[in-house]
Amino acid sequence: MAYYGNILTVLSSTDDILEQIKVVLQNNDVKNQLLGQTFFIETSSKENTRAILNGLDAQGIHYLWFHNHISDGSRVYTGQVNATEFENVRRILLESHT
Amino acid sequence: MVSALLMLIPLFSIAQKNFNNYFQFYPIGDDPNIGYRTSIIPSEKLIFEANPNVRYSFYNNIQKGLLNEKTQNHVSAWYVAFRPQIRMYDRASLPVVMPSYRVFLGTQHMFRLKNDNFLSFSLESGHYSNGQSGSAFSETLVDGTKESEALYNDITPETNLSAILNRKSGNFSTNLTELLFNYRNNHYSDNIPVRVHSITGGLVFYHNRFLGIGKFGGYSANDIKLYGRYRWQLGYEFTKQLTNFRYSVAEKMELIGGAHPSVEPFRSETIASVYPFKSMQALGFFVNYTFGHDNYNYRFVDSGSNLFFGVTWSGFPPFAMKGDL
Repeated sequence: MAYYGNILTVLSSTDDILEQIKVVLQNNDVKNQLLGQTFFIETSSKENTRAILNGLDAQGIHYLWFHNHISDGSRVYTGQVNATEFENVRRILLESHT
Repeated sequence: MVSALLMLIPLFSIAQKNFNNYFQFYPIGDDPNIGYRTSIIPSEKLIFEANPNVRYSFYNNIQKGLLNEKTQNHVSAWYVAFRPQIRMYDRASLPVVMPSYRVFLGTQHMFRLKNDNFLSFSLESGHYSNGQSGSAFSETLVDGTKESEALYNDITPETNLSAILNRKSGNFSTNLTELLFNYRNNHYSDNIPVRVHSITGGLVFYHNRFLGIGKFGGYSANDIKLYGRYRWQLGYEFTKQLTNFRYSVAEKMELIGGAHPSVEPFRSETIASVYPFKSMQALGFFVNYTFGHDNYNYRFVDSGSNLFFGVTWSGFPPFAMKGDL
């Protein structure tokens, strides 16, 4: 099984919209870390990724989604982010790929 | 000067953002390998055989093109191919005997079909020789001399060429062109082919002029009557990715057209391979059962059955062949 790191930036978000997204993510059984209006999401396949996108579209949510196909060589940096949360993000984006 | 340097910056930036320069895949061609081969004829015992096939591209967008966001239905590579074949025989002071040197200019093209299956072709043209200067049928005469050429007058359709071959220094030389077609039927998981049926067929044609132009490296008039001009090839390979490893089974057949009657025209290779390392998907182990004519330059006059097993590196391991989710 291959894993992929993804970045979901929510545009014009509200608490209700963020909750809707959390439900979509729970329904598709993925690990994630929310920072501000940005979700960092670990998907387990291309199909898994596509299913979440379809779920977001069905809710009419405005978003940008970055799908990281090959993580080798990529890096992630932070400023003023909680160390535990940043470690979650770093692992999702860089370490969970096979 | 400064403006010229600044103009280069975007070029370097583009080069660093893609992986075009890191991966060079080729859908058609024999994989490099090294291993132990049992004797083909009783009088010659082998220690090992190596086929360190390598290709160096001038241009290759096969992986990047298949993953491109704007789906590309045609990808290609242009390259130089070096396909030597080396055998170490169990003899005193003659560890590597009459190695095969093959160098080609080549191109391969892949076309995406319906359901992300692929049709490909490979065209390679170059030179094939063994670097020897001796007569093909005498260990004491020099190739190309009148005395050496006179030996061919004694060869009749009944002559057993395998019995009279100069196995220490017999010269083999020809120019050649190879045209192969390949069809791949893929079943995908995560955009990566996990079950592949692959059929390859085509022709190797021996000709006298290098690339059809240069007057060097060709055969003698006497030799081509023995070599045969045509080598027809047909092969099938099934590959399947399981949870922790990948395996393949393959059958390759070759038929020589126009060779001396003592040459066995048919050759069959049945190959089973396993690729057990997820972190090094190209690396595998193989067992090959071969019967029919030999394929080691002038030793094509030999025939028999043998086992060949060892380590191989796939030239076309599984990788994502479409980019969309």
